[in-house]
Amino acid sequence: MKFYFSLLFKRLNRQLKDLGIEPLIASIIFPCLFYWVSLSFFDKFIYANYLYSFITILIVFVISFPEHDDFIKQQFSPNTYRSIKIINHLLLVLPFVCFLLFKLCYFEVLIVVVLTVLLSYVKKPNKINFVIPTPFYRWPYEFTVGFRKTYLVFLFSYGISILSIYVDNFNLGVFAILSIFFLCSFYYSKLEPQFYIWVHAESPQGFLKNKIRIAGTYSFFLSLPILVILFIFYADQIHIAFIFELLGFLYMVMYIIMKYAFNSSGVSMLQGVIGVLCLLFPPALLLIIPYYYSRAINNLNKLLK
Amino acid sequence: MIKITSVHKAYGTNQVLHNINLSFRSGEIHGIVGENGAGKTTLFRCVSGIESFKGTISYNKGAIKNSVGFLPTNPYFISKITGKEYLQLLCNARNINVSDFNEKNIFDLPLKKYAETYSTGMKKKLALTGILLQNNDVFILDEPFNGVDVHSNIIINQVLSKLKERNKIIILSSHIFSTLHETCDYLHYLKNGMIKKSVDKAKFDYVEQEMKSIGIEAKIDKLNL
Repeated sequence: MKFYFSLLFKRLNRQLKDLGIEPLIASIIFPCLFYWVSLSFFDKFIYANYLYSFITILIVFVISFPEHDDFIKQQFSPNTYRSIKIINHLLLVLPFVCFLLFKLCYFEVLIVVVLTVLLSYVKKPNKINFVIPTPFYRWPYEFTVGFRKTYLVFLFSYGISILSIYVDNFNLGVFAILSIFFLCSFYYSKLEPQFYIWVHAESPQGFLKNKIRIAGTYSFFLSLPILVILFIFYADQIHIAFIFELLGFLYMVMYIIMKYAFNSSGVSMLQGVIGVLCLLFPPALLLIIPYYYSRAINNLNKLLK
Repeated sequence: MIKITSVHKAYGTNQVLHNINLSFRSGEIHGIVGENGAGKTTLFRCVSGIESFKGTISYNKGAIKNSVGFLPTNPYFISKITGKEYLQLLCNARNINVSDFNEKNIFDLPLKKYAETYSTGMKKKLALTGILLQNNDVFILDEPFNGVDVHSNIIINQVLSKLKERNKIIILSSHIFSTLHETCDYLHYLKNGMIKKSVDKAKFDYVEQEMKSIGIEAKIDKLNL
């Protein structure tokens, strides 16, 4: 069991390094960040103690992988397996429990700990096989996968755009458009396996052009309902919506290009920083896109020559 | 024709392929055999253009990369992609238009289900269907018979015969000698990254004997079973 947890620690460090984060720095930054986010959460929400406890339990449920459970079940004795599962769950909730203790929420701590231990006895079902239909069947990949993973967020974005009419706030509508593009950009954060790039009979330029064309078409399609709503109710300001549509598109293009320029398996620290920088100062996109485009072409040349 | 001349491949200081010289003509089926880690997959990846290497690999019909259908040992499927969408993706990649994938579904796969939920054999069959739909001229098949049921094995054998008739180049690897006897015209024995022997059908048994002669008994004894 000791070896299992030391291996778990090593894996965590490796994953951090893969994301471009030095584990030592992460061990300082993450607790500070966690403390700040938790504090803000308690400041912003009423009944934050209940919401916070609920989110903690939800996290335990979400970050539980049946395949991993099956693996440790096969390798260890029933008692060791149960202990590993309980310790895993308790380690996961430890930061939340510490913060709840800091906030003197003793009853909530008790509930969280009891539910966490109980959840260790619950077998989470394996992958859900229900296929969510998507309108992106002609060019399947990023949007097909992304839509299936995040379709609920679209309901949220469309809901916000409707809300913008009720509260007579055009900016909310613009926010809804940006949320669509921000989400679609996220679909391009992870580099596909080499095979899925190599298989294309295209030049690197053609490959990128095609990716951008598909992303542009599908994201426009997804943001169209919001544009229509804004056009009906704010026709005189529709040009502003289109400007943000263009901005969102450029933001997404930047992420597509950065994916191949960085060749990383996830959003690296630098990619994240550049993303935030471009959100705060959009003209930077005009410099960043051409710069990373040439880097992306260089990397793609290795597989698409 | 594919001509491999003095191909070397190393990962850092680990030399995986040493001076490989081979040629594959149209209408021939070549089998590459060797122990695990001999360099078969690396050789396949070099021929298909996924890996860079030292030496030359020439193909008389132009860019080999765009004519190769590569079946990896363990095909990787993106999560939340259905079988049909995977086939569509592979056809899009080569600008092939297929109107009805169900008609081309020779292995009766559940194309509407997520590919990641398929069994090992089904995944292999889906990946194979994908490269067959691409109308490739060269097929590189890394252990195509692995994990596939008997009925599908028969279908794969027939597909290979058909491809041979149509003058395609086929290079495959397998650990099952009976299958190699049935399908291949030539066999190349790869050991420690070098081609130790290249033989035609009449001499397949020699290669099999040579591979079996490696001190298997002595290795098993080490386990103290």
